[in-house]
Order: sequence, then C-alpha cells, then structure tokens
Amino acid sequence: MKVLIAVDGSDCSNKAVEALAERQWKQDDQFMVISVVQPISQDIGVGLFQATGGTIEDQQYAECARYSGTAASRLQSLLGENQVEVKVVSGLVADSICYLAESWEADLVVLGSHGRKGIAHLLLGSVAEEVLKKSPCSVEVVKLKQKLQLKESETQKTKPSVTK
Amino acid sequence: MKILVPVESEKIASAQIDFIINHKWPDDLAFHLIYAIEPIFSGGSDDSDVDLRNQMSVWNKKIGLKVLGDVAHQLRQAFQNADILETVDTDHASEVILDIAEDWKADLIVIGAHGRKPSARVHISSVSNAVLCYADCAVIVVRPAKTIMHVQSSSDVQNSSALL
Repeated sequence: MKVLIAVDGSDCSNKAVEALAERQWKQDDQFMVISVVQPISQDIGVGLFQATGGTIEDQQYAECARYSGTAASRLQSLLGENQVEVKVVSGLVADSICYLAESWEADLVVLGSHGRKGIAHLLLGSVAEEVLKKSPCSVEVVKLKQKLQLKESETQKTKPSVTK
Repeated sequence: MKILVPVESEKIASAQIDFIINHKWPDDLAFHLIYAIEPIFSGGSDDSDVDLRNQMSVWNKKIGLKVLGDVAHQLRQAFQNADILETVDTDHASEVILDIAEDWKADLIVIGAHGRKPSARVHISSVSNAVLCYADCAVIVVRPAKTIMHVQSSSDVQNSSALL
C-alpha cells in the first residue's frame, strides 16, 4: 500500500503523522510525506514586488522543507523498516496533493483535521474537502482530538494476561 | 482496535472490504457493521399507506441483514479472531453512524464513497460529509480502485447497450 500524507506543520498534521505511526503496517507499505508551497499571486499584494514575493516564497519553501522533513524523520523513526519519502511541491494545495496521489499511484491520502466544536465543527476544512472531492484514491481524515492507539507490542506489555 | 464500517450497498462495500483486507491491523480487532435504513416519509396526511411502508421497512431490513451478513462473512474469513457486530437500524444514516461511533467508542470509521466516475467525484454524499465533520475518530473514505472503476464502466456500457 502506498500512503501519501500531507503536512503543513500544524498540530493536526503532526497528529496525523503520530496516528499513522501508531498503526500497524505491512513491511512493503510505502509512505510519502508532502508539503505544498502555495505560490504568491504576482497581481496583488506583496506579489507585486517580485523581489519580496520571491523572498517570501523561498522562505515558505524552506519552512515546508523543514516541517515535512521533521514529519518524515518522525515517521521513519517510529515505523522503522518502511520506506518514507519526502517531497515539497509548489501549487494549489488540494490540486497538488491529488496530482501527486495520482502520479505516485497512492492507495491512501492522509490529512489532519481540527475536530472543532460548535459551528466550526460544520467546517471540514477547505483543503480536506477539496481533496475528498478530487482524490483518485481513498482519503483518511485524522482528527486532532482523537485518542492515539498503542501499538500492539505496547498494548501487550500493558496487558498482564497476554504477557503471561 | 474498533472499526466501524457503515455499509450502503454490496458494490460500495466491496471496495471497503478490499481496503480493510489489504491493510494490516492489530490482533485485537473488532468490527461493527452498520446498515441504516432511511425512514420513509409519509407526508403526514393520512395513514392509508401504513401497510405499504411497513412492507417496505421489512423488505429493507431483509436487504440490510443480507448485505451485512455477506460483508461479515468476508471479514470473518480474512480476520478469524475479530469480533464482528452487525446492526440494522431505521434512522438517518449519519445519525446512526455517529451515535454508534460515540457509544461504541470507535477508533476508526471506514466509509465508502460513491464517486466511481470523475463526474460523480465532485459530490461527497451528505452522509460521508456529516460523518467527516462530526466524528471524533479518524475517518477513511474509501474509493473503489481504478481497475474496478474500469471494469464497472465497461460493464455499464455493455448493460446499457444490451438494454438498447
């Protein structure tokens, strides 16, 4: 199975990484951690000043590379043997995720989401919603407030009946 | 790990089953299969169609039990030690799913998606959307694999030409 996980450095995407790492995977399951740099419009705002816009984009790229790298190394350290790739791409976030899912032939796209209360609960998040609509494969939405599961090995350690 | 599997039809369920079977899960696995029957709206005018509605309700429950039975059978073959619960309930699907997810303390909901064709992908069903927004646990929206899409679309063409 090929699993593509999109990260943006937020708590919910970190939670998605942790949730994935807590789950069991086959040895040949592959992972790709991606983050997307959204280009700054050249028509308005800071984009008018190409030097400023370019500098900001460079900073964004460096930031994306940093947190996708951190997420990938965290995932690799928790998963162990599975192959973990990192990629930073530029484009519209949802479109880039779906395009990469298609070209890499991903079986599952994983996204983090805030599990908000109240009226904000109605909003899934524009990126998650867009990916759900356009994704060529299955999509998992990990909620920020969900409890993480212990790995089987850790669970067994906590169960006296199993360790006997 | 507790996995809630809302089942809508055999076609969509086959993609859910494929996904679940191809994934590695912990040993302490439990499935709760749900088939929700949407209540039949009477219009509130008279009770002349009570018999018809009762007959439809019984018929729908039979279909639900059969679909769940088939899914449960396939899951039992793949996961012999897993606990499998089956629930057929008459209420709005999203409410049934969210209520059971909360009461049963599901860790994951694996829900099917309608979008087999690109044109249908633009719409996420209202049930999937509600579950994604309100569920406290992770939600996987399973799309049929591309090969299945191709086979189905070609058979659809054959069926339509046979009708002509």
